[in-house]
Amino acid sequence: MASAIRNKIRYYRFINSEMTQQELAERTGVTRQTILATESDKYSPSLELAFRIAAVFQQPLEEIFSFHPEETKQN
Amino acid sequence: MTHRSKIAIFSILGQTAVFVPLYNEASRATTAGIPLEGQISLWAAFFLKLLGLSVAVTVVGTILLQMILQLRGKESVFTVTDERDRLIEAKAVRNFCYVFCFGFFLGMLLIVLGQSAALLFHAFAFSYLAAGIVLYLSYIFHYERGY
Repeated sequence: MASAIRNKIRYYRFINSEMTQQELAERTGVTRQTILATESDKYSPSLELAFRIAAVFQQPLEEIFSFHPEETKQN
Repeated sequence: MTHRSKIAIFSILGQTAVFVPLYNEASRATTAGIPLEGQISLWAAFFLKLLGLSVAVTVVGTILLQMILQLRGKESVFTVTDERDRLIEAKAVRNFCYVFCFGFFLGMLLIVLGQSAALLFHAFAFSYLAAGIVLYLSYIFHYERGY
């Protein structure tokens, strides 16, 4: 089931010199599988992890993550 | 398939491999016309052996499997246990508890229905095995689904 939280992690990894999932995982203190699951909207990260990811890309939280509750209701 | 799913599959096989010979041994011993006190003592020994051996097999197997996976793959295995791992573990342990409690109350029901005390221990043994399998299947399900 897809999460109600969408993200732009793939895009920001791309514009940050094609940062790998492994590198982002190391910089945020989680496993690569967690980054993979988050990026593909299969896992809603905790608020702390969301802030960590936003901090890596030096962007505000709402620029990386957005909330779409209506899409979850349809699924 | 993730490393943790592979280790969960190994754990299911390991637990079953430990359970089958120990259960056969305990069943044979308890059907040899021993008084109830003796049967209880045999079943107690069975559960202690089962617990000890299954933990040992899982720990040793996990270490060996991690070494093999680390040698074969580029990615390091289990360097971090993060929030998602803890969430999946909590869900898997919850499922373990559900199945084990079901087995416990099934055993109680058997006693109320007038079945022998030996059947109670058979129910406990199988609920322990089933709960262990459900625990590891939960890991596989959540890791493979991506949650």
